[in-house]
Amino acid sequence: MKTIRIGGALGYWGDRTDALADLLGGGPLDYVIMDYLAEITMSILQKQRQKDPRLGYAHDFVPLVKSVLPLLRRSGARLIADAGGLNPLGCAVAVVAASGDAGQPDWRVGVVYGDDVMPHLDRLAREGIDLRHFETGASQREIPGPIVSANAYFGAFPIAEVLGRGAEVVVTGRVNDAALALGPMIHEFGWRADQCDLLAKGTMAGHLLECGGQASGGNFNGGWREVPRLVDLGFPIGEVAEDGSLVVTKHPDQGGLVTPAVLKEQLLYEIGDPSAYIVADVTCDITELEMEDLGNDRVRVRGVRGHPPTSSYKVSMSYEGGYQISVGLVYTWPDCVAKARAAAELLLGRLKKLGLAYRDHRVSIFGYDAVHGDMSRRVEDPDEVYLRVSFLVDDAATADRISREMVTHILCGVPTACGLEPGRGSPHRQIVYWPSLVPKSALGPAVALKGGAE
Amino acid sequence: MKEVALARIAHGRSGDKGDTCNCGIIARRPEYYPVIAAQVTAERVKAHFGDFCQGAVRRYDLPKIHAFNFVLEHALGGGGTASLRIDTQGKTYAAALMRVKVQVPDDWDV
Repeated sequence: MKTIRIGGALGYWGDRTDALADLLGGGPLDYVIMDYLAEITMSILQKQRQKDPRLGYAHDFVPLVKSVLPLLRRSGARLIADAGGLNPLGCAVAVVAASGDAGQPDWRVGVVYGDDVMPHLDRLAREGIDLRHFETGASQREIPGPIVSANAYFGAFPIAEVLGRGAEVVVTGRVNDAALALGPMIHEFGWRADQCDLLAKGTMAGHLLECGGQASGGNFNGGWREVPRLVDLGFPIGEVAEDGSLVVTKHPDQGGLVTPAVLKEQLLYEIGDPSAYIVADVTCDITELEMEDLGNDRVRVRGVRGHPPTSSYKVSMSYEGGYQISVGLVYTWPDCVAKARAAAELLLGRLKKLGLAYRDHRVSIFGYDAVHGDMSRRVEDPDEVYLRVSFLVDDAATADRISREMVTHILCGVPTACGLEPGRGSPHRQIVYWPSLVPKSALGPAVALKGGAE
Repeated sequence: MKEVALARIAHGRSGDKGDTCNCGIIARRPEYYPVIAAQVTAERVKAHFGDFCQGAVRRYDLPKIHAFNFVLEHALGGGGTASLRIDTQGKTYAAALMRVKVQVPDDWDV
């Protein structure tokens, strides 16, 4: 039976970039996927595009691809990445230019785009389509700040289409993360849109691969001490057959661990109802999923079922809120928790005296209960703590004045304090997430091919 | 019976979708699964997280892989870049859930 090998080389923008060359050089592969886009990444890219309309994609993807082009050609693998962000066409053109610079000018780069909902907002409003918050049900009209980004999550069929037209690198905007892996399966095996079980099997294979090293021993809570060589962690590989059967593994001579325990953590990562994991192409049911340890870092996954997809695309929107600023100091023994609490009270008292208003604040004492609050053990009288006070304010100027006020605590405040890092913190604009749905009839994907075929 | 932290018989991973956090919790051995199923209910998890979880908690069971998915709504202080909390994406919430105490037989080597 025909089988393809797909590697997952990147889990988010900022993840290890040397994993790509390790995957391509470590053994045979047919496809490599790279997932750049977390929920909040689009709003970061939007800010970059506002400054320069040529940007709006993961710019470091371009030199990374350039550095592995010879390796890609040698291995015969094709690369699929959602690095296009808000500007997939711009990203593809940049990859084509870089391949020319690298002496490989005939590369064919496929593009999947059309997911940007911002240009459609006025039309959708005219058509009476309300991008309601899909958790609270609130109307789009209640969004309290300017919308920064809005992107629909497309499926895998447009990726399969550009692969069918000969693309060696595929750059997309927002797609379901797992679609990056499902696209090549549809292309290779000829799966149809009504073959829900197959599409669901492929989607869950993609889900296991989309977070890179998390499926091969990274961030493994089940036994992190037992994971060999995180320093050269081998990223996960899915061996998918045309009947949708799946074995997850990694290259044998690299670090990491692929066991059922490792894969169960990734399987359940960022999912809701396991009987209805919804993507654009299919609704997946993993309640009957089983895993079998084949030994030697090989795990068989079976039992995924599929149901027809919904009539909507998920839309991830974000809007600008207020400004956030975090300030803080280290306090040492004795009585450091009491000192930190007193310093927080002093700061709030000073802000009141200075007439500096804030919408919200939070006092966190690291080394005591900062991360888990009332769930913490709260060890009494630790040696040192870090006090962090975070504020949400209306404007950057107020944030800056709060930041300056904290510095005065060194001479005017509670004793035995020192700074954690040089300098003061700087405020950042709050980006608030607004998940929604849009009818599939309202917009859809577009594809193009750049480079070689032009 | 003896009382141990859930961490002794389970492991897991957590993450975010907007202001919702999910904790995938996996029994370390198949025989631990029914103990977790009986004792680590959605109600208990909701109470455990206290003011950290402002919404509902739902538990989904995956008996074939001896695992559970707990979905905590309004649990991240607004989530993503909007929250004033430290762990705005719930990356450590599975570890926080591991603090829950469970009663297990005295002869379990955990």
